[in-house]
Amino acid sequence: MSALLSFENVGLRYSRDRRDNPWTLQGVNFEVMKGETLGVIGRNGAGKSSLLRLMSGLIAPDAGRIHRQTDSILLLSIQLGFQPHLTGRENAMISGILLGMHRAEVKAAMDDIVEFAELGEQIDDPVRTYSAGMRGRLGFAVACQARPEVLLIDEALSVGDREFRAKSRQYMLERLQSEQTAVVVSHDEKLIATECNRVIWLANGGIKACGAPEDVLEQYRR
Amino acid sequence: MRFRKRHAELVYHCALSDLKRDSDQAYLGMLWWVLDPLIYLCTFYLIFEVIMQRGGPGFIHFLLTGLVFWRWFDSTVRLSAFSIKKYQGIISQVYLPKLLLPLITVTGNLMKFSLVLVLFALFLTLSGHPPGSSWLAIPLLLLVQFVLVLGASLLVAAIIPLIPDLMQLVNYGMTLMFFMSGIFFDLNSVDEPLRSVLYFNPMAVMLSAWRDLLLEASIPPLAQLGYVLAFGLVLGAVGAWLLNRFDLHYPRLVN
Repeated sequence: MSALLSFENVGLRYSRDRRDNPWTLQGVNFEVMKGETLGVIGRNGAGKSSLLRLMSGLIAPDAGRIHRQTDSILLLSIQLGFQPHLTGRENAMISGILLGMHRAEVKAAMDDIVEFAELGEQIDDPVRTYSAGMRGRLGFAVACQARPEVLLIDEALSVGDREFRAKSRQYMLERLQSEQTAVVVSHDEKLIATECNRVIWLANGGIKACGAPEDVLEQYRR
Repeated sequence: MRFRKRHAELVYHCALSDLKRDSDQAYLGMLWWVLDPLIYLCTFYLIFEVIMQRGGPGFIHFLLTGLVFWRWFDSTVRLSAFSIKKYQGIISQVYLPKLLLPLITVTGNLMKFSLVLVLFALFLTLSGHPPGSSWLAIPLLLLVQFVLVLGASLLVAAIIPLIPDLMQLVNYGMTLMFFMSGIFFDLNSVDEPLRSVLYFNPMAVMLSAWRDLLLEASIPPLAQLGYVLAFGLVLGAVGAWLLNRFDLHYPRLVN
């Protein structure tokens, strides 16, 4: 197994926002191995979202280094770039390109997207006429088509009604159990325990524990 | 910055989306792209020709030529200041080369302007300035002004998110430039040495070039066009450098 992504003494500082301790993250070291599902747990404000933004290359660290073996690292975002005045089809196109696909790929996947989102002919209506559930389903269906080498997931992505939530959860689990390399940030301890190969516990901007899910979760619960 | 083919596709789709929103948001839709400059023109016509009687023969053509090409520059540059802010939500979730964001604004405005340009050419033809061989130089002038519009837009788009206070300066600067670009008066009637100073303004040069070409059917001096082109390239180079330099910093700016 090789590391697709490795953090070396990474620090991140939002100096203007916090005066007491300006470091959001400090001295963070870990690796993401090819094919694994890595879980990240921690209380609110522990720096989990900042960690994801650093991993996906949106921002650069203020200290340390991040080594990437691939550029294809995507933070899964639902309804990314959605505009109410555009049709479902047009929004799917823009969202798909934002999520790393080419126009031709989105076009080819359009039938699958419409079917997964259960939208039928309404795909050609403006999204402002959609219910929140319909928007969520379309967003999820598009996001499913993204095929990054490393998939970053922030919290359980639950959209739509009960039936669709089950369907989307099922889809996600299958993705995680496949060869997909993934990093999952979640408060859902059960999901972390069953789906992750390794878990990182983030506290006060640093890694407090790292290892097998059952060990880390046990420390975390105390 | 990491460029991909899909980024060009994104610029195209986002620019179309902006245009579609414009036309969706008002009852008259796309008609506003033409009505807006037309009302603008009428205002100036009323003030200078009717009230102040400062016009003269050919004033309406003189004024309209100035306004049409000024509006392209003015509206694109002002909108570009907000390019990055507009996509703040997106760039905090996925990586995009920030250079793309002003390109979306520039592309959308170019599409709008093309429509105005076609109507303007029609107006010229029907009102005594029919197409001649000098019109062959139109693509050249369009290219030169495009480089200037693009350059200024990149620079403004790069700087305003970093130093939002400068937006006031941009607004005053654009107003000052508007009055000094010879839109409603002939810069050549200004005495030296002031005239030469005013012609340091690339838009003053550009508007004078358009009038030479469209109203006098003569090819404007190439050296002047070269000056505008160089000006645009320098602005664009600085803008692109800044956008690249702060590529990973923009997502960290809140607001």
